[in-house]
Amino acid sequence: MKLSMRAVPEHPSEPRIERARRHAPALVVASLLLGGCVLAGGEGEPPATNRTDFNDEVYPVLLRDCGFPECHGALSADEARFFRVYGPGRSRLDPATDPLAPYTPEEREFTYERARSMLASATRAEDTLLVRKPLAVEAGGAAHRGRGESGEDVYLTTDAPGYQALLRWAETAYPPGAP
Amino acid sequence: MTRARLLSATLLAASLLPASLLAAGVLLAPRGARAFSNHETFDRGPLEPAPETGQQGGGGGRHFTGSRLDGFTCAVCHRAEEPLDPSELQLEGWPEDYVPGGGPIDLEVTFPDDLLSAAALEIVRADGRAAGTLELIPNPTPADLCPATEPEVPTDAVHVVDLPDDRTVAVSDACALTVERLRVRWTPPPESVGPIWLHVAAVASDSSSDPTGDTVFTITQVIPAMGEVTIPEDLESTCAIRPGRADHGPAVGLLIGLALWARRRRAAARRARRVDARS
Repeated sequence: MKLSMRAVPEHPSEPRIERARRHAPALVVASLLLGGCVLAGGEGEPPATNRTDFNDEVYPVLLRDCGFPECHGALSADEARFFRVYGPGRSRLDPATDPLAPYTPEEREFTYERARSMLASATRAEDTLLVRKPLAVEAGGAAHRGRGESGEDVYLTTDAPGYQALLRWAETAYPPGAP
Repeated sequence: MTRARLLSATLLAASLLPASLLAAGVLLAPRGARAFSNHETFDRGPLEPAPETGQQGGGGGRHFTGSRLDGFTCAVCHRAEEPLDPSELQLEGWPEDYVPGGGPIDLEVTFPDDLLSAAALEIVRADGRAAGTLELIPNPTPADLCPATEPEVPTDAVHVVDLPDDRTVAVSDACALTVERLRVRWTPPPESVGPIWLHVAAVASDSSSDPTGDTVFTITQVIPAMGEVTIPEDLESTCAIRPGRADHGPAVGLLIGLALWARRRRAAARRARRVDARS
């Protein structure tokens, strides 16, 4: 069976550009929804956080639970994720570094900036990507798609010490009860 | 003249040969030490320095067995483009059922031939805690031992480590090619604890300091609860990998609504144009 489409003649009073302008708001809303953008809350800028807490509590947690080469480490360019964690026993910022040599200031700084970016576009600490992504959906977290056999939830409950460390740090950016 | 030049070039090449070989040897040698060849590395915190070497990067208590409380396997770091056949890793001794309070059972994981290998083994109940007890098998043979370092005697490559959350892991050191297996003695729990899972994660290394090129083997075996022949689906699924999927339901609903609204507006515009044309 042959199908044909009949061209609909344009109304002289409604040129194509006018129709596009009329539909623009709907298209913008649709693209935002499909793109997963956050419409409410957050400026998109990484918030200010407590740096000491990051160094002492969060960086070790990110190394322990996230910074593996096949997860949030140094994958190839087409596989690399935005959120990356560098340090000893994991991926090194400079691949020539001895695998177990102590962390470098550059590695911790890079990890800090990426982790801080994961706190943007939220109004509550619990809603930040850094806190929601590793938490199981059943416990209120977001879906966490990993790679291969590591593609599972990092923290099964909100009681997990690692989750608590991330939450405490996120609360330095979004204090509980703040407007 | 030409012959003289040829002779001098040959002499120059001969004089540079040892240096060239040395440089090539340095370039081709493995970079640095193997990262996780000792079981103590898994226990140390990522930024906790080793007592003698000052090295960091420990597992922070993760042993990468793939069990439900550990979560990850060795595959989070190691990967081979052309992995070995899964049958290269053999498991013997795992029973089809268990008797609460029954006698000990010897388990043996045999590594691939001529490859530097290590493994971690854990036996857990549904909540992730240890099921029964693990201990070393007495009287190790050379296949179970790390080589002697003078004046010390050879040490057992396999270690049984008690972890927080009531977990016990058996882990072997990747200390030498002479280590051919991980052997451990498992005693079932004294009472029925429901289904029991065995998790084994092993790495066959290409002996470089780089985690690429290393084959990862994983084994998961289950003994159903007494009187059952299958594992309850909800328990089985907790062991499976579940790729997440974002919830687009509300967004799709809103898009359908927008499309219907736009269609109605177009239809109304067409009707209005027809009316205009008639009038």
